Parts: sequence; structure tokens; C-alpha cells
Amino acid sequence: MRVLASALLLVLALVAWGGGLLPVAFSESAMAVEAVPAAASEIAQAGAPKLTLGDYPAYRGLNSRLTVWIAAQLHLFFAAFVLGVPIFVLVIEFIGWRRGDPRYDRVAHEFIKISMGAFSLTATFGGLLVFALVVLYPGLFAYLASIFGPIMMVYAVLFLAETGLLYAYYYGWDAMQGRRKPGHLLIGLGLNVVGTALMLLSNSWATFMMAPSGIDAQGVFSGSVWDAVDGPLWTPLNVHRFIANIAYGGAIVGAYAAYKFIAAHTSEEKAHYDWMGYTANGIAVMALLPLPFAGYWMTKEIYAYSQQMGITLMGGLFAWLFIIQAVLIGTIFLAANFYLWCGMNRLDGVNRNAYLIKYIAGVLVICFLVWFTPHTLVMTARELGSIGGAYHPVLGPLGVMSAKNSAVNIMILATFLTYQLFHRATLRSTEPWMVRATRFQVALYAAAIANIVWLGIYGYYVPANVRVGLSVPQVMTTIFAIVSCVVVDEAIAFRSQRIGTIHWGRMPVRAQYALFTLAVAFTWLMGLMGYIRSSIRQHWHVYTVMRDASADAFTLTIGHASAIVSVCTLIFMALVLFVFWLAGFSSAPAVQQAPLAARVVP
Amino acid sequence: MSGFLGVTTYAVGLIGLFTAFSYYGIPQLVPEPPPAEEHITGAMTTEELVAMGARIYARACALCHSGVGDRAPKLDAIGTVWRARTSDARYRGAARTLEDYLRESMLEPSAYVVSGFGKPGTNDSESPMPAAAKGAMALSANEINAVIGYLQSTAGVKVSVTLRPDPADRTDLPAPAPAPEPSTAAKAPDAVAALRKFQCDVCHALPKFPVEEGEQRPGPDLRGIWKTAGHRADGMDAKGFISESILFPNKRLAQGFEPDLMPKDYGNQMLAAELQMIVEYLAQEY
Repeated sequence: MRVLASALLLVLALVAWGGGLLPVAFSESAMAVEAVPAAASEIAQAGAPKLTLGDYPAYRGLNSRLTVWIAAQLHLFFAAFVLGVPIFVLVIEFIGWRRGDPRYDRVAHEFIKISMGAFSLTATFGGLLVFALVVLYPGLFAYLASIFGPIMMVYAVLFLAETGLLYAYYYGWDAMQGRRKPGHLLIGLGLNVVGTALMLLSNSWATFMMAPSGIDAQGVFSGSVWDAVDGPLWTPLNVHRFIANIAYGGAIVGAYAAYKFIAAHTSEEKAHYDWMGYTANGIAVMALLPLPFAGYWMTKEIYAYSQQMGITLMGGLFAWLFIIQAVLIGTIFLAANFYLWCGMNRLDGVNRNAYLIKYIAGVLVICFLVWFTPHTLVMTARELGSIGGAYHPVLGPLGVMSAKNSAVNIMILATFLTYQLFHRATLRSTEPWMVRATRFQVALYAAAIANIVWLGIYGYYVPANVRVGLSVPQVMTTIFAIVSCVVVDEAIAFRSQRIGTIHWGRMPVRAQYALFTLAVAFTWLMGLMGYIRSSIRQHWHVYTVMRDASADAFTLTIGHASAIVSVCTLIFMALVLFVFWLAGFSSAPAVQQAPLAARVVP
Repeated sequence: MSGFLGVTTYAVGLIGLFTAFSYYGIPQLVPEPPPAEEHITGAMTTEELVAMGARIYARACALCHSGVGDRAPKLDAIGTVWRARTSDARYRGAARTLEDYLRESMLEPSAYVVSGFGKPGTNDSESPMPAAAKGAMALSANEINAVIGYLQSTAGVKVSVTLRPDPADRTDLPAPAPAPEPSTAAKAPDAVAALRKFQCDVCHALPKFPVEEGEQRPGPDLRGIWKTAGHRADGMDAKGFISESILFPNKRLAQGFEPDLMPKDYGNQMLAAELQMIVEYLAQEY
């Protein structure tokens, strides 16, 4: 150990002060390297380069845009997963530590094990993306590097730190139990801090290309990297991706649990993976609930930055893509709720609240259809004639944001109600105030829905700028209702009697396919929204500053774009199944040690 | 193994469903290609200029100024409403003509904001429209002129924008493809030469052109057109009427003359400068 420490110190000393010991030729090359920042600075001071077709190297059989697109998308899929999973793993590990319940610790360990395999694939596709950009889009990369060079170096260092922390976190899991647990949690915290910092830095490159800052109209860099990083869309994108990563991580580990459940041979295994799937689905859905609001904020900032870009996004060709988005989100909500409804089978006897499921399903379908209703779309003259105008005479009013905001808020409330019904099914009210509290919750739901609907209707009678602002009280109503119900539920759970048990593992296989639906739909949705976010720049590398002069600077048809998204999703799902297969090598013994069947999980 | 196959088949099927919906459930509109760098040359005819303005308008303006979605005011009545707007107390510009008003609105959109179309919270004092010469649009001076010409033509008023001798003001762009040659040869040096070049005197009696006593020509006598042109169409001055009569000869026929006698493609044949010279020649007092 002492020898190792001495060697480490020697290496550090050589790195810091060993320049004089190096051969002359190396010193000269080092001086040459020092000249590079000046060259990068010159590029930035010259402004955004005016590229021509000849500035884009072409290779036979290789489509530059598709290469970069697929590499970037796969990198983002895996990156979202490996950044999202450690966040809730840390929370689960912490809960398990505080409660002294080893089941939490074990499931958290298994979650992080899945992300280990994905981590190397994240790095692989990240490297592929950088190489593709350098080789196929050298002008763009040189310009971005001239501005973000220092940030890129920080990113590289943080990536090394992320690697070290992830390995320490995973491989130190068993060794750092008991007294060492706080230290392990600290490593997990460090892993999340560094991971989030990595996400923030790389987000700045994407948002700079969408809404450049820190440069003038000609693309001349003012010299402040922070100004370039802190663009108008940076914070909204950070928030949106942070939440989405958690939801996505939950969906993927849910698919893992479903896969293992289907393949399980013993009731203990089924119970373990059922509980794992339930936990993962809960994480995915809870993170999904605030996502629409983060999306609204992001869109609002896009409009504030450039109304032209906003209209291109929501009112032009891209508006059709939001119909596809509505289908995907509807699929996600329905699949998540279906899984929860199937979960009622785990309870003893007949769930006294089960009759509500059909009404919840009806509400979800109606709200989905409202969300699905298009409004302002690019239409041909024949289509306009068929409809009789720009909007459908009957359904048209449902396409505006007043109706859609109302629909999504009610969908969120309905999904939360499903969770609540499952949670409350094993509790029996023992005191009169609990009955009154339950009635209060029912009244709260009714008042919340009435307020949301009323605000939605009111939105039709006020100007657009006022109407946009109404989404805030609608969201606050939903949040208030959910938080209030959680508080009341916790108070009731604290004092009430538990009746029956939850039989983990008593789930139909079709419920596991609902979890797979969640993972596939999430992945496809991420690919679609990534395409939309990127392509609203249209024929600009850096919006309004650096024009894309390549042969691929055109917007694809929706079918073509969706085919590429599907290819990315297929590749990702194939690789994810490979990761699942890898992660399964060491899982069986852990499950057999502690059966979960017929246990109540608080 | 069956579980693996089942899961794989299900995932592939689901992805296939999403793809199929995107293909068959959604109209496959073909997006417009990236806007070409419109290059305006002195050899363009007025019709070509207006047509180019229409193309620029379609890609840069029509999405908002379509009347759909209350994004921006429609411009179909701009030929009449501009006077009221420039007289409005909220007007902060300096335009005195429609051409100036349109140019000002494109370069400084907040000079006048139509009620209800301002940025939220600004009480219609600030326009959400980006300046046409900057940002994503970044139209050149001549591209703006082309759009103005297009808007004037759709409003039914005379196209008044003038072409610059060398309007290649986008020096930062790659050299454009050579413009198609006009159907006629070099530009006529003056109005008389232009009238002869297009053989107007074959069908019309023209001011200061030799005409034999009692001679009848196929087209109307234009020696006195300067007196009547200003009264032939409501809201149209003499030059506007003459210009329209050359470019769209069937639109307002002189009494006693049949349609389709006069060629309808002078807009393609004439250079804009030649049209302008002819119009001014015929409209001046003799």
C-alpha cells in the first residue's frame, strides 16, 4: 500500500513539475499545443463560418446526418438511463438504510447493476458521436469547440470522475455495509452530482445550437463561456431532462423486472421481480406526472426566444408530430394504469374500490382523445374543404390548449387515484375522523376537477396571453390535490389497521407486457421528441447564425423521421436486452436468500 | 427462451405499430426544401420580382400572416388599411406611402402593432414579429423589396418597388446560378426604343409616334391615355392603370375591343426598367 501511494505521488509530481525532464522535441510540441487555444479563439472571433457543400466530407454509402443522428440518439438513450437510475437508486438505498430493510438495499443494488452494463455502451456511443461529428461535420465541430473548448475539457474530467464513482459505488456495495453505509451513500451522492453536472454541460451545447447566446448576430463569440452556456433554453431543458431521465430509468428497470418475472421459475423470484417492477413503475409514473409541465415551460421559453421557432414547432409541419406524441403519452398512461389495475390481484379478497377502475379507464380514454384532437395543422386545400375550415366544426374547440391542459391534468389525477386505491386497499379506517378525511379527499378530487374544467372553459373567453397563464392555476390545483391526498393518506395509514396482505408475485404475465409497453413507448417518445427539438432549427446548425449547407439540410417527412426513430429504438431495445442478459448472471442467489411472497410492503 | 422471444416479438410489434401510425395515420406532407438564396438581378421583370416575392412570402411570412390561429394580422386588405394605421395615434413610424409602410413594418415591426397582436403584457406596444432583415429570416434589402412588390400586387395597387442597378447585396453568399435570360435582347435605352422593341406602335397609336391621318390600328389609340388612365379604375392612378393594362391586358378592356388581342406575356418579356419607362412615357402629359 505504501509503495502504491509513493508511486502515485511520484506520478503527480512528474505531471506537475516534470516538464524540464522531458525531451526537447516533446517540449516543442507542447509549445505548439499551447498555440492551439489561440487558433480556436481566432475561429470564435471570426464568427460563425459560412459553410458550403464542399465543407462536408462525403463517404460512399454513409449518410452523414443519419450517422450522427443514430449515434447521438443511442448515446442519449443510454445516457438518460445511466443518469436517471442512480438518482432513485440512491433514494431507495437511503430509505432501506434508515428503515433497516435489506430488501430496499438489494433492489437498489440490482438496479445499479443494470446501469453498469449500460454505462460502457453510453461511453461507446458518445465516442462514436464525437468521431462522427469531427469527421462528417468538421466546420460545425470546430466552431462549437472554439466556443465550448474549456467546457469540453471540464466534461472530459467529469466523465472520468463519473466512471470512478460509478465503479466505486457498484463494486463497493457489499463491502460498504453497516458502519460504512454513510460513506457509500456519499459516493452515490457524488455520482449523482457529477452525473447531473455532465448532463448540464452537454445540454448547453444542444441549447446553444437552438437558441445561441454569448455571440452576436454574426456568431462572433464575446469570450464569456458562461454566457454561451446560460442560453434562454438551457434551464428549461435541464429541468425537463432531469425529470425525464428519472422516468426513463424507472421505465427501463421496470422492463428488466418484467423480463425477469416472465423468465422466473420460482414463486420467490416472481415475488421479488414483481415488487421490483411495481417500484420501477411507481418511479416512472411519479416522474412522468410533472413532465408535461416541464414540457410546457420549455415550449413557452421557445416562444419567448423566437415566436417563429415556436410557431414552426406547434403550428407548422411539426404540429402533426404532436399528434403522434399524444398517442405515445396516451399509451404510456394507459399502460401504467393497466399495470396498476392488474396489481389489484395481489390483494386478498375483492378490492372494495375495484368498481372505480372502469370509471377511471373511461376518464383516461376521454382525456386521451381530447389530447389527441389536432388544432392548427398544415392542411391541403382539399382537406380544408372536407373539414369546412381550418378547424373541425364540432371537435375543433377541443384542440386548443385550454382543453388539452384540462385533459392532461385530469389524466394525472386519475393516475394518482389508481395508486391511491391500491395503497388504501389494505387499510381499514378505525376512527371516525378517518371516514371524514376520506370524504374530504373525495370532495377535494371533485373540487380539483371542477376547478380545472372551469379554468379550461374560462380560457375560451379570454385573450391568448391570458389563456396561456391559466395553465399555472390548473397545474397548481393538480399538485395541491395530490399533495393534500398524500398527507391525508399518510395520516390515515399511521393510525389505521392493516387488513390482509399483498401477495407479491400474484400478477398476470400480461401486466409484465404493460411494463414493456412503458419502456418501448418511452424510448420511442424520447426519440421522437429529440428529433422535434433538434429539427425545429430547420436548415441551421446554430439557429440564425450558422447555416447548414450540407445536402441533408432539409426536413424529413414524418414517416421517414419516424422510421429512423424506430431504427434507433430497435437497436436500443436489442442492446438493452443484451444488458439484461448480462445483468442476469449473478441475480439468482440474491433472490433465493430472502423471499418476498406474501409480505406487506409499506 | 420463450419469454425472450415473446418479449422481443412484442417490442418489435409495438415499434412497428408506432411506425405504421406515423406512416399511415398521419398525412405525409413533404416539407419545403431549405430556402434557396434568392438572387435578384436588374434583368428581372416585374412579374418575376413579384413571383419571387411570393416565394419568399410563402416561406418566411405566410405561416403567421395566414389568418389561422390569430398569430399575426392578415395582409389581404393592406392596400387600404395602411392609411388608417399610419394615422393612428399609436403609430411610431415615418411612412408616407404603402411601400414605406410595408418596409418599415418588416424592418421595425413594433413601429405599429395591430390591436390584439402585440406581445403579451405589452399592451400592443411591442410586436412579437422578428425583424425581417435579421435572425432566422435575414432577408436582404432586395428580398424585402420583392415581398413588398408581392404584397402590393395582391393588394391591387401598383408595384412601386424599384430595382437597384446591382442588387447583389448578399455578398456573403455563394455566387448564384445565372438568372434565366429574358426573352428579349439587351435593355432598351429609353421609352421610345422600348416601345419599338416590343412593337407597341404596330397595334397602338402612340404619342409622338408617326401616325397617318385616318389610319385604324388593332388596339386603342394611346395618344390621349394620359388624360383618361387616372379615372378608368377606382383607387388606381394613371401609372397603375397603364401598368396593369400592359401586364394583364384582359383585366379591363377598352370599349369596343375584344379580349386576347394583346399578348399576355409582356410581364415575362419586359425588363422591369423597360416597363417603368413605358408607363412613365404614356402617363406623362402631352
